[in-house]
Parts: sequence; C-alpha cells; structure tokens
Amino acid sequence: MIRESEILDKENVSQETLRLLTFQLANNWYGLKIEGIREIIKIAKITWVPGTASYVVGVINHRGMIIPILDIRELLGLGKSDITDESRIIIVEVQGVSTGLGALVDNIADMVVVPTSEIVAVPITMDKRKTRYVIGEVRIEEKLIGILDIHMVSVEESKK
Amino acid sequence: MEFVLFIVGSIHFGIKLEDVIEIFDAPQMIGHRFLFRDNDLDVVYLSALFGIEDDFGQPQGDSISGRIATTEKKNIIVSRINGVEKAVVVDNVSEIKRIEPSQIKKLPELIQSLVRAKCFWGAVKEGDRLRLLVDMNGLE
Repeated sequence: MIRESEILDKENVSQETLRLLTFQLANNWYGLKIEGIREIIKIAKITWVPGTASYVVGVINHRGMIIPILDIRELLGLGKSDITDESRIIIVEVQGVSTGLGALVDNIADMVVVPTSEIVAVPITMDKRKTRYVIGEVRIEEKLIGILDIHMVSVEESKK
Repeated sequence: MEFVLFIVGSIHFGIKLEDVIEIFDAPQMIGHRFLFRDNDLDVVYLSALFGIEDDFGQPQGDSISGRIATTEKKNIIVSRINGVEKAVVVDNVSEIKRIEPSQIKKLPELIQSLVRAKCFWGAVKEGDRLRLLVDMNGLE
C-alpha cells in the first residue's frame, strides 16, 4: 500500500495502481476512486423528497445545483445512517447525472494508492445488494476495503 | 410566476397559483368529500399521499376512515387535477409569492426517476432550505 503522501514520489505511481478515498459505513471500510470525486462537504441542510426510495436522503442546494444525496449504508443494506459531526457527503461525478451524486458516509478516513493486482473479486456469497455496487475488494493492513461504484445507481434506475 | 406556498409536516411546498381555484381554512373534521359550489369534491390528503409522518411518527390522515381531527391549522386547496376538481388538504398555506423562473432549479432526472410520486418538478432555495414545487397534475 502506498499512502497519499507518497504519491508525490512519482516512481511509485504507475498505471497499475488505483487511487481510493476510503471511508467507513457501519464500521466497514469502503473506497471510491479519486478520479470520480468532485468534492467532500460537511452535512448541509438536506430536503427530503417524498416518495423516494429509502436510500435517497433527499436533495441539497450546493453551488446553485440541486444534488441528490444517497445513504450508501442503506443502499448496501447496512441500515440507515446516523448523521454525526463526522458524517460527510462525497459528491461524485456520475454518468447521466449532470449535477453529480452525493454519497452520505459515516466519516472520511484516508486516501490510499493500491496496486490493481491486489484487488480481488467480491465473494459470491456476499449480499446481492452489495455485489451490485462493490466492484472489488482490497486488503490494506488489517482493513478489508470494498471498492464502490455508485455510478451503478443511475444505471439501475435508468433500466426501470 | 406566482405560487401558493404551504407546508405538509415539516416540508415546504409550492404550487402554481394558476392551478388553484380557491383556498379555505379546513373544518376541524375533514372527510372523504368536500362541498364546493354545490359539488362534492374528492379529498386528497397530501400527507398521506407523500407518506409524511406527524409528530407522533404516524402518517397524517386516516386511510381507513378517511377523516382527521386536528387542532392544527389546516387548509384546503381546491384545484383542478387532470381536469377534475379536487380538495387538497395541506397543513398551512403561508402566502402567495412571485418566484422568478431564474430562481427555480430543476430536480435532477435521477431524483425524478427515484420518486414514486411524479409531481415534483423543481425546487427553490429559501435560506438554507429548499421548497419543492409540485405539479398538481402529477399527483396520483
């Protein structure tokens, strides 16, 4: 594993690495590819939209754009998020959603660079709700990090 | 464009004034029907339709008896929904306000696809909160 501080050492960065922002959801570790992340913000006033799926927390007005906020814990079947001082919204770019999506997470941990060769497929025994959005796993020290692809939310919804 | 602003539960909504025929203070007991200009109109409870809970965690409105008794201020907005006049029960009409089109933000398509009720078409920023704009013809 290479920590973000070591990214400055260009020799360590090759095409075979993946840069991840790691965070926690219900005491489990997950990561999102840095490339798709637009911004990380503290919890703003979220307006619930009636009739939405249980994993849609609502919408926020951020920089003049209405951004949907998804409860990633709920999306993965880990139960509803408790919003605390450490909770954050990761705004990610998603194909087909010009405003991007806000992913509500428990906290932000670290930025890491992992060799793609260390990424393994998720076990077939994993809950289907997770396998839909977790594209792989990587072990960093004692942490097993699920690599998320929440772009799949818009893909799934567009099929309905 | 002028809008009638109201709340249901703790959520702020707005509908176009042109979609509103008349606004009444709701009687203490509201049933399935509301007499308006000699016509019995169907009553639509937005709280029940939207699944908005009251202070006790219960959906507002009683889907079995179709009646609610309340000491809170409620209003009935008579509106034409898909060509049929209906009486829409809301918690509190606060004002009629002009909102410039430039102030209205469209809801992202993703949210629209995730919403069961296809009636939300935009939002307006008011301080740190958003007011949702409702298309009455989208009410199901």
